[in-house]
Amino acid sequence: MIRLGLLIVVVAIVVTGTSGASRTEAASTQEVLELAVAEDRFFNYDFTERISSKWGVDWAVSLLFWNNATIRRVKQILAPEYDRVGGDMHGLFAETQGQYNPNYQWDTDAGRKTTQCPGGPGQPVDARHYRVYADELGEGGDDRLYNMHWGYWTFGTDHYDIEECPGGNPAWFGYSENAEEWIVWRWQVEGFPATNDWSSFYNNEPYRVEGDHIWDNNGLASALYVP
Amino acid sequence: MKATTSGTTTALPRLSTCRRRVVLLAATAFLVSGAVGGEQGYAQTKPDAVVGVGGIGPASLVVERGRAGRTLPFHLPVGTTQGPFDWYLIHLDYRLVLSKQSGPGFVWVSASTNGRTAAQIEYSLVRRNGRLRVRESRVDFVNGSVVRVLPGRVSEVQFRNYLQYKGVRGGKNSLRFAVETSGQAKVDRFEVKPTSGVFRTRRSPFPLKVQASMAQRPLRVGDRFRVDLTLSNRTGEPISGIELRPRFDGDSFVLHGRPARNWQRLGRPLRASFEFEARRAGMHDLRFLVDSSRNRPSASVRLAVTPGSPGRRPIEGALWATLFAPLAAGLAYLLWTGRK
Repeated sequence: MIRLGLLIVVVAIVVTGTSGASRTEAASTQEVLELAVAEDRFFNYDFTERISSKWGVDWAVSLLFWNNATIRRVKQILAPEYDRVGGDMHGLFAETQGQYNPNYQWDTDAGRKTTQCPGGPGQPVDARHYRVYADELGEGGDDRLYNMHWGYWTFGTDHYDIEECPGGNPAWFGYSENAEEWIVWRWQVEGFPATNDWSSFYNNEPYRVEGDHIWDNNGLASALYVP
Repeated sequence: MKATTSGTTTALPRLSTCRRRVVLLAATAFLVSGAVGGEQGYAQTKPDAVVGVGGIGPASLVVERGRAGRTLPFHLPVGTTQGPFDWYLIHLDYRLVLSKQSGPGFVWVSASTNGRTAAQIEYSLVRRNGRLRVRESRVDFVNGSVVRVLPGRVSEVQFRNYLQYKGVRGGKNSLRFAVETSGQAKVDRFEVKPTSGVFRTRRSPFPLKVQASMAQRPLRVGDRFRVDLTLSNRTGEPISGIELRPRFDGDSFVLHGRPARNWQRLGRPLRASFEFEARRAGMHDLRFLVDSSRNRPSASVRLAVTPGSPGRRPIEGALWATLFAPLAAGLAYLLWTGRK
C-alpha cells in the first residue's frame, strides 16, 4: 500500500451554477468540491469551459500522478497505448508555493486517447481518453505542481469515447471507472507502481445517463507513481 | 478489473527503450561543514547546517553520455523527520551540456531521496531554423515556477527545494541523481558539483499560520455572524506583503465590510474579523486565503444554516393562520352549500 502522507481536505462547495453554452455537451453534477493537500488545491471535476460551474463539468478527477510527474512525462509513459490527441477541456487548481503564481489557475489539455476516430471506418468502436492538468506551460507555468506530500504531481480525468466519429451514431462518452482501471493497468505494464482506487476524491457518480454522458465513477481516484 | 496495489519501490529504472534512456549518476563529494546560502529566499537566514553524504569520492563527478552512475546511501539520526523544527533540503548544483546533434525531445534532471523526488528540472528541445532552442523549467517549494530559454546548449543550475516528507527518515537513506532523455534529445555531459547534497535548516516552509474561529450558535437564514482570524508567525522569520481574503459562495453568504485585509509585515499575531450574513440554508464552507511573501495558508469554517430566522417563525405562523383560517372556513361552507 502506498503511503503518501495524504492530507486531503474538502474545503469548499459548489460554485454557483451558470449554465453557459459550450463546444461539447457539458454535463452536471450535484456539487463541485475543491480539494486541498497541504497548500495545493484543485477542483474534483474538469470543465467544458473555463468557468467553474456544477452545470459545466466534463468528468470527475480520478487520476493522481505523483512523485516525479510532469504532464509530458505522464504522456510519455502512457504513449505506447494512448498516442492520439483528443479535444480540450479545462482543469482548475491553485499552486500556492512561491511568489509568482496567482491563487487560482486554469489549465487546458486535449489529453491522449487510444484511437483517433472511434467508430470510424476500420476503427475500433471505442477509445479510452484521459486528460492531465497542472501549471499551464503557455502562461509561464511548468506543467507540474509540487508539495511535500506528493512531490511533483498532476491530476487527471478519464473516460471512453464510443462511436464518436461521423458514421457512428449515436456518440456516447463515459464509463470513467473502467477507463481508469485500464490506465492503471497500462501504468503497471510499463513497470511503475500504481494503486487503483487509492483515495476518495468526493466525486462519486453512480451509473446514470445524461444526454451523451454516461456517468460511472466510484469517487475513488487512483494514484500512479512516476519514478 | 480487480483492484491492485503496488508498493512504492524505487527500483532503478529500466535502461533504454527507443523512447527513454536513463542515466544514473553518482553524486559528488559533500561538504561536512560550512555555510551555504545566497540562493533566493535563503540569503537572510542563518547558515544551514549541512548533512554530509559520504563515500562517493572527491570533486565533482562528470558523467558522459551513456554512462550509468549509482545511488548514494547516507545516514540521519534515529527519529529524524521532515519538520516540524528541522527541515531537510536538496541542493542540486549542476552543469548540463546538451549535444549539438540533439533534435526535438526532452531532458529531465532529478534528485530524490528514498525514491521521493525533490528536484526536477525539465528541458524541452526544439529546432527552429536549424538552431537548437532549449526551454528550461523548474519548480520548487520556495520560489515556485521558474522558466527560461537558454542562450545556448549549456545549463548551469543551483536548485533548492524541501524534501518530501517521506524522503526523510532516521537511519539509512538514499540519495539519487538522474538524467533522463526522450525523443532526439542528447546529453553530452552532466556534472554535479561538490556543493550539492542534503542540507538541514531551521527555516520552515510554512512560517505563516492562519486560524479561523467563530462563536458557536445556531445560524438561520438572515442571521449576521462574525468569523475571527488570527495570523501568526511560527518561526520569527520575516514575512511581508500579507493579504487576507475570504472565499465563499455568493449565493449562500453576503460579506459586510471590506473584502480583504492587508498588512505590510507580520511581527506579533495579527487579528481580523469578517462579518457575513447567511442567505441560504444548508451546509456551507467559508474559506479564508492568505497571501504573503512566504507561504500561502488557508483556513475554513463549516457552517450549518437552517431556514428562517429566530423570532420570526412563530409570528409568521400566527399571521398566516389569522388570514387564512377564516378564508378556508368560508370556502368550505360555500362548497358544502353549493352541493346541496
